[in-house]
Amino acid sequence: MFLNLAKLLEDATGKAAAREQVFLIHPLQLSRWLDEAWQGVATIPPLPIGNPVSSKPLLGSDDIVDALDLPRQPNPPPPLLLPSGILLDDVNDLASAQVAVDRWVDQFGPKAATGGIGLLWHHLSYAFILESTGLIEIFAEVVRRLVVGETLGRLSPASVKWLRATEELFFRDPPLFSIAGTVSELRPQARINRRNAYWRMFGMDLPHAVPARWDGGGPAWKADVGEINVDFRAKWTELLRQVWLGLENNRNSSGANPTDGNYVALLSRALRDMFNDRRRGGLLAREEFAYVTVLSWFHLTLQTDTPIIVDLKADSTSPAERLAQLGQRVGMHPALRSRELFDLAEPMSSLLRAIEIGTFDEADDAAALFDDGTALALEMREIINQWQSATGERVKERPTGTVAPVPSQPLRAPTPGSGNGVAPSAARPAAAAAPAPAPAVAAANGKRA
Amino acid sequence: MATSTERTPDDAKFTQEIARLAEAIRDLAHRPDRPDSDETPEQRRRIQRVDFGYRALGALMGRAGRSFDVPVFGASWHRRGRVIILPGLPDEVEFIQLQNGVKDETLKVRRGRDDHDSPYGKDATDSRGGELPPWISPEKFTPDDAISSVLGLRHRRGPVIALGPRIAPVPSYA
Repeated sequence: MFLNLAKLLEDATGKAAAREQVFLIHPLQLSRWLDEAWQGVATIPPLPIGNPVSSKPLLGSDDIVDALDLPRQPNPPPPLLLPSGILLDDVNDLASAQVAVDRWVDQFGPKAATGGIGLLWHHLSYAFILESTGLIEIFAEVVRRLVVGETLGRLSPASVKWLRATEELFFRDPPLFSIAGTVSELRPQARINRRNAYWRMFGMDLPHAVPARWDGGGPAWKADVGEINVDFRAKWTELLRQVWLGLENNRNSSGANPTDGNYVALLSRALRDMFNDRRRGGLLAREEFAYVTVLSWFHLTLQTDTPIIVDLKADSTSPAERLAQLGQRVGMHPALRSRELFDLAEPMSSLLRAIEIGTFDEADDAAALFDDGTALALEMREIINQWQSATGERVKERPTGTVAPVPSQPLRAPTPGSGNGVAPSAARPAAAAAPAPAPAVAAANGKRA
Repeated sequence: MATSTERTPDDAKFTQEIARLAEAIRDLAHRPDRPDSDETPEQRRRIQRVDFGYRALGALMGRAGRSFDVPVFGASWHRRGRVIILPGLPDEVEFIQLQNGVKDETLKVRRGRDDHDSPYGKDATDSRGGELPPWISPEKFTPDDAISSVLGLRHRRGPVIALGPRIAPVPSYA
């Protein structure tokens, strides 16, 4: 959600630099803003556009937002709970460039700045892809070093604010009754909880092990998960392959055209059903919100040369490079394909969210995926290129000769209670799916060198 | 006897044909229109809506970049009369489409305060000194209808160019 907040600040001021103000806002305001943002989702109009009859619930259930949000405030005001009070509207008259910093106004959540439309967070795939770079473990080590000693040097006031907000928002127990509070005595480790969600939704685990410092004996996080989407990767790759065929042949005016919109629509529906099966009754909605929020904070930190990046002498030209520099400061290495993963995270998330709500259920609608005149087709080219580059999977090459069929079901069902953090062999696409770093790198990822 | 460097009339004709074919191929390659004439305007309209929906989704998810710079506007029933006011509506939007899964209606956007059914008084001004928000006067929808989709169109049949919010029913109007 912090990417949304950054965008609102940028839109309000017309200055790209305003995005970094997110890190200067008090964590109390940010925490309240998250609760308000959760509430705002109920106001998102039906997507796909112009097809409200068949539109699917965004998060698996129309009622999940209401079920978990705070009670309504009294009307007329005054409200019983203070608003987040982040200034996102009426900023043109302000002389100060730092419109949202050290200021508390009478404004609730994102809806105040978006004409009454709530905002939506990224798909869980965004968190999975970004976390595959190893960035959480690197930032955890950076924050730990900064708060326990002096090995990383002195920070500027802006970086001190970032450090305080980062530790308070993501490395301690969340405030009581916060929507982002997805840790408890029953699931005490946030990093393990995230793996659990990725496993359920994509049938994949992160490519790096839980660092020994935080492992705590390896809880049985794969136990009792029930169904998981082991088939995700096969279907997803096939969808990319079919869309590439469509893009390749989009301008064919003669000869054979192997594009099959009906098959693309069928694959989209299969993926949609797969995701919605895991989301029944709003399952994973809150977890997705919380995990995407964490990753978006660190992603935003790496997008530009923010004060903390400069203070830690990690300024560079791309998020992947900045992460590598940060890792160097604390003796860690990000995944080899971090650059591709950073570029892939947002487009893949958008596409999966669109698939999930049924945007491409019909062949005529799926045709937009490979129609060269659309922004969507450009995005598809980007996704295919980055996925191919990140995973090494040759999406663009057509299979020749006899091809072994990809099993639609796992050869062996995941073993209940295997619980040692090791996936059953047949149901473990993660090793290849994840960013495919070399084994040595994957093994080192998340551990101190 | 003709040498190998001299052209016969047949050679010249052949060369001319080659040049004509090359020109045709080049035109085909640079043709701005899509070559598949099978596509109907309805299919094009549908693809435009899917594409816009995808960009709108990206905008709501906080994505940056020109593709995701989708205009959004507010929409709510005005307390006087059965009109919906549309603060922040972009100037290019000429029509509004309302839908709720049961009925839909496309309406011309009205601007200014001089129309006979304008919700604004003659002396009304915007509280911030700007222009008064545009409005529409729905015929099929009433304030006690939930309106799930409010879209801004450039022309009556599209394209969709702006996104509005859901409008909750206001039972006290009924």
